[in-house]
Amino acid sequence: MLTLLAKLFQALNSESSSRQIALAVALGFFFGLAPLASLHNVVILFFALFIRVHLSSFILAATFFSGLSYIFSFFLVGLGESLLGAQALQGLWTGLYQFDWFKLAHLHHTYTLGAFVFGLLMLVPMYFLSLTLVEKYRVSLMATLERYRIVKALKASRFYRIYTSLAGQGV
Amino acid sequence: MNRIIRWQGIASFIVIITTLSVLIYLFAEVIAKKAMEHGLEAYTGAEVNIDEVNINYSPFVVDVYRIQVTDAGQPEQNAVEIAHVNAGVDIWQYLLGKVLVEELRAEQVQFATQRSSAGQVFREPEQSITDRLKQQAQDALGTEISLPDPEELLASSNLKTVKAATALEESYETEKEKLSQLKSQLPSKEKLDDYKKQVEALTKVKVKSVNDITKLKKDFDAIKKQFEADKAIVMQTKEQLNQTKNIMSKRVNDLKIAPSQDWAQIESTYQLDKIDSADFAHLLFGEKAREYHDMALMAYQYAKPLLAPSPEQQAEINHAAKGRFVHFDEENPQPDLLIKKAHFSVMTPQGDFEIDLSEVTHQHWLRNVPTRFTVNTNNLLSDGIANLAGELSLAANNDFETQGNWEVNKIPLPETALAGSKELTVTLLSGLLAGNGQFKVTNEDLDSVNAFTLSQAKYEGSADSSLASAVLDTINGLDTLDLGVDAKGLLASPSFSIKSPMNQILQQSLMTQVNSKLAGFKSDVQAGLNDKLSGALDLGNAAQTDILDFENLLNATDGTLSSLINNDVVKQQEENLKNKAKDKLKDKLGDLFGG
Repeated sequence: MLTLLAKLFQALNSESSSRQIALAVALGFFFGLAPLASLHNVVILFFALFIRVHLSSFILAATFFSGLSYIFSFFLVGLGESLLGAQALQGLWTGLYQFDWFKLAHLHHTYTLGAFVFGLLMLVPMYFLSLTLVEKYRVSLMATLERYRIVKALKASRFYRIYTSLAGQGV
Repeated sequence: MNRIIRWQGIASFIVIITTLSVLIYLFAEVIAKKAMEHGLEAYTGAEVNIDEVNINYSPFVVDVYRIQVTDAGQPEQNAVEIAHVNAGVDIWQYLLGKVLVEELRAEQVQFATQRSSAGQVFREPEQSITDRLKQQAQDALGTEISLPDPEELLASSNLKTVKAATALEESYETEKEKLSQLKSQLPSKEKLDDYKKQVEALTKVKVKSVNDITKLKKDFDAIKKQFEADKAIVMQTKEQLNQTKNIMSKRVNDLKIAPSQDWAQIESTYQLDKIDSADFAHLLFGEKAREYHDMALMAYQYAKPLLAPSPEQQAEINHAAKGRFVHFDEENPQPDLLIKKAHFSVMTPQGDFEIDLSEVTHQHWLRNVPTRFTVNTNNLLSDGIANLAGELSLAANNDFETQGNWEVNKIPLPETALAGSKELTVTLLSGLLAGNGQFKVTNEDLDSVNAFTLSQAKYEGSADSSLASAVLDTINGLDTLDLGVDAKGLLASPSFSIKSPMNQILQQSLMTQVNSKLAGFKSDVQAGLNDKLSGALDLGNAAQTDILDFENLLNATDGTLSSLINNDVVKQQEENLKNKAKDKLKDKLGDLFGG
């Protein structure tokens, strides 16, 4: 975990594209929301590996949002319940239900559908939010943090040794 | 393009997926074992141990060996232990969110087996199912058939006869007091004689002039006022006497009908009326029938929520499961859970049972096939044979229906208490039971017809009365005993009808022996009641005589006073004066005309 964190900070501080990090966080968010063994997570994993995104950020974001998803599962289940139970959408769900891929993806499960729809809706906002945060960090926060004693103390730690050993390796 | 695409990512993806697949393959059995233990522990609230899980992938079959579920109430033993469960699962349907089991077999299902070490309990049980069943059975036991002691019964102040006699006595005392007060105000015989003398004296007064008549009239009016005052008292007394007569008459009538009302109450309270047409089969076997019904009902109530959970229960299940599958109409709809065939081999101390089920689901309307079940044993309580076959189905609107039939033969009956009251205890020591029946439950309605034959039966019991002795002797003398037990009505509280030729045999045998005892009791009670009645009626007769005497006195006084009031003494004296005047005038006219 320390290595992953170091990689994240290394990416934030390096010349890695802000967009790569932001997209990794957004995909990690999408991945983390749904139950681990869902079909759309396999597709997200494929995209995370296939497209050049910052993998360490993806893994960290997926881990973080998995925890959040567990805590807020009642919200995702409720969203899925209301969508699958909505009278106006019965025709849509019944139509989709005839396809095995729909059932295989467990999109008729309240938790999975709630996570999928919420993840899909928040994917773009999450991307731009992450992008803004990364850029703000690089422009203002990074230089400010460098001056704090705690950061200097951190630089003497094991974490920083890992961080420096990774420097220049890229992702 | 290469700035966006990471081609080696495809290889990474394949490696990750392959690695995951291999890991799942290698650890599937361990994961499945832990998942089953964890799931069952969450459900039962106590430690669950599984020895081994084997997974065969083609066809997909899961074998689970030695499942031990700790009894949360008694952790040193298992609530259930199953030696081997084999389930063929349709993996494709499972991936699509449905559980379709082609065949499920559970071998050597045993209850209450000893554990090698006490299991952990995660959730304290309210009460174990077996304890609740025992409690239910105990609560259902016990009927009281008792004849009361006539003396105690007659001493009861709640008897209407006693109450009516007391009321008569109290009324008599009260009325007597009222009449006595009025009697003291009535004119005495001496006073009436004095009145008569006064009137007679007025009659003898010599009137010579109109002034004398006026004076006489004044004197008579003066004593007449006294007569009228006394007459008013007499009238008031008569009115009171009428009221007294009415009250006493009502009290006496109440008293006369009280013994018959008391007897009716005694008959009803002690069910003496039913002894005449006694339903002995119901007395002896009714509670047992109810007891078995209650046990069956409890089992049904445990199973029903699993078949058709209420919306609240469904919500709870959903919450616990963190979401649920929602299924929609499809061309070939399949139930969410379907076990096409299941076989359980259950071993109990009472015998080994082979249970076969087909089409086990809670959504029968989707395939339009009911769940069918058979339960068979040929060593029930050693040599007994029992077979049960039936089917059940649940409609989309939650309507529930089950029906089936059963038969048993050569069932050796264990020692069973049939009746346990102060006067009669009957215990069936041994016997062989045969029987058959049908049952049908539609939602909350039960309709069940059953016939039993009890043979080679031996009874033991004690009897404190001739009635009880007769019951004991008669049932001991029966070679076979046939019973028809019907249960109809609401499932929770059906009405039982128990018919048996034993009723007629017992009635004939009993009535000769019982009649004298019962008749003795009847005569004792009725004689006691009659004693109370006659004692009180003597008082009533005395009261009536008093009333009659008083009435005669009143009438006589009234007559005397009326006669005195209506006396024409003034008129008579007027006539006398007129006559005297006429005579005097005649004499004077004779002298004048020389006549």
